[in-house]
Amino acid sequence: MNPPSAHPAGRWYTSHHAWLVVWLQRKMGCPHGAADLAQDTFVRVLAAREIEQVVEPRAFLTTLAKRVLFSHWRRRELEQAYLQALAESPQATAPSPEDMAVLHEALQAIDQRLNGLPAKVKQAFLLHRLDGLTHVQIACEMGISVTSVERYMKQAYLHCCRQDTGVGQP
Amino acid sequence: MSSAPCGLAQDALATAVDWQVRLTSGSASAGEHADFARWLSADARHQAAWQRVQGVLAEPVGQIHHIDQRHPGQLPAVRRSLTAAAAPVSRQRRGIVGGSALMLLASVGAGYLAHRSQPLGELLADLHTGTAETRHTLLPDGSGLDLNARSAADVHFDHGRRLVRLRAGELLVQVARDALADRSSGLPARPFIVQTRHGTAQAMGTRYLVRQEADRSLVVVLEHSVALQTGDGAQRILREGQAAWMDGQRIEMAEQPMAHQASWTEGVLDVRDEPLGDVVAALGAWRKGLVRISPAAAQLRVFGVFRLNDTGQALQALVDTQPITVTHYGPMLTLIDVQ
Repeated sequence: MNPPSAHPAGRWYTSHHAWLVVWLQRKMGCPHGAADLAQDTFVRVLAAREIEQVVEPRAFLTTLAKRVLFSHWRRRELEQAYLQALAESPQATAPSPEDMAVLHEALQAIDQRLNGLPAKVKQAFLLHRLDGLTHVQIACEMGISVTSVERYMKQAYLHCCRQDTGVGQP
Repeated sequence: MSSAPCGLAQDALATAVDWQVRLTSGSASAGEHADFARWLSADARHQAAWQRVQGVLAEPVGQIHHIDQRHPGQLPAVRRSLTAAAAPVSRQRRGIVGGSALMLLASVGAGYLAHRSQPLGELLADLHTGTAETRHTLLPDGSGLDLNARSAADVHFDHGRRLVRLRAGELLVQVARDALADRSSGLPARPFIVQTRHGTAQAMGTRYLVRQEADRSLVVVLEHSVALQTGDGAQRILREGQAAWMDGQRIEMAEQPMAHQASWTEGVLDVRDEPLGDVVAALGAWRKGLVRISPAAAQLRVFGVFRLNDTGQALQALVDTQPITVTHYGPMLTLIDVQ
C-alpha cells in the first residue's frame, strides 16, 4: 500500500480538479451539480486499479466523469419516470418529500441491481418481489407461460446474487 | 461481505435460487418444504447461500413497501418507472469515447460504459441547457445561436458545411456570412444548416427558429428565407414571416403568424390563441419537476404574455383567467385539470 501522498489521485486532484469541474459544468450546464460530480469522479479514481500506468490523466478523468454523468442522468431519468407514472395513476397519492427521497434511492438501488436483465425478466421479477404475485398470477398478468415465469425468476435471482461476488459479471 | 470459495458457493447459490423460486411459486407442496428444510440444515454453505438469496433487493423493496403503506398506490408507479425508463443498452454513439480514452478503459477493470442516444445524447451534446436556462453562443463563423431551456445541439463545422444538429428543444440562429469564404480564400460560402430528426432547414442569409417536438419540427423564418427539406425529400422555401411544420415526410405551412414564438429569447412566453397544453409544455422547460395536464384542460385556448423566470406566477395567471384548477403535490409534481 502506497502512502497517500504517493497515490496519483492526490497529484491529479491538485492539477486537474478545477479543470474537471469546468469540463463537467460545460456538459451539465449547471455549476452546482458539477462540483458534486467531480467529487464522485475522484472517488472512482481512488477505486481504479493500475492507475500508475495512466499516461493521460485528463483523458482518463473524462472517461470516469462520463460514467458518473451516466449514473447521474440515469438517476434523474428514473425520478422523472416515477413522477410520470405517479401522475398517470389517479388513485395514488404523492409521498412527502422525505419519503420521495427514500423512494428515489430505493428505485436507483433496484435499477442498478437489475441492470442488464431483459425487460420481460425485470417485469416478472418486480411483480414477484414487489407485488408478491404467485407464478400463475404473473403468467396471467404478462400473458406468458408459468415455465417462462420460473425461468425468468431464476435468471433474475442469479443475476442479482452474482453481483455480490462479481462472479458472472460482464 | 464475506463470501465462500467460488466453485462450491456457486453450486449452493444455484440450488438456493432453485429452492427460492420453487417455494415462492405459490404452489409448493408440504413434501417440498420438508426437502428444503433438510437441504438447508445439511451444510453451513447452504445457509449462507440461502441468506444471500433472501437478501436480494431486501432493503430497497422493504423501503418501498414501507412508504406504500403510508401512501398506497406506489407499487405500480415504481414498477412502471423501472421498466419504462429502459435501462442503458449498448448503442454506439459517435464521440462518447475518444480513441485514447477507449484504450485507457481497459485498465479500469470493472464497470461498463453504456451508450444512450436520447437523454445522454443531450447531456453530452456540444451545447446544452437545463431547466429555466437559456444560452447564447457565438459560433466559430460569427453566427449567433440562442438555445432555449431543456434543449441540446451539436455543432459540426467542416470545410463543406456549417451544420447544427438540434437534438432536443428549440434554438434560434442569426446566421453570419461565412467568415471562411470572406477572406479572399477563393472558397465558396459554406451552407448553414439546422438539422432535426424530421428534416433540415438551410439558411439563405438569415435569422430563424427551429423547435423539435416528439413527432414534428417547427421552423419560423424571422428574416430573409430558409430552404426546408424533410427526411423523405420534400422541399420548400420559406420566406420571411412564414412558418412550417415538418414531420419527416411532409411540410405543412403554419396558418398563423409565428414570429412571436421567438419571444423566449426576451424571457417571456408570448401566447396568441394557443392550446393550454402547448403553453404548459413550453412553461414546463422552465420549471423543475413535472407538470401534467388533463386532456380536457389541454384544449382550452390561451392568450397572454407570461414571464418565463417565474412559472409560479404564470400558472397563477392561468388559474385567474381559465376555468382550471392547479394542484401541487410537493415541489416535483403539479396537476392541471378543468374545474
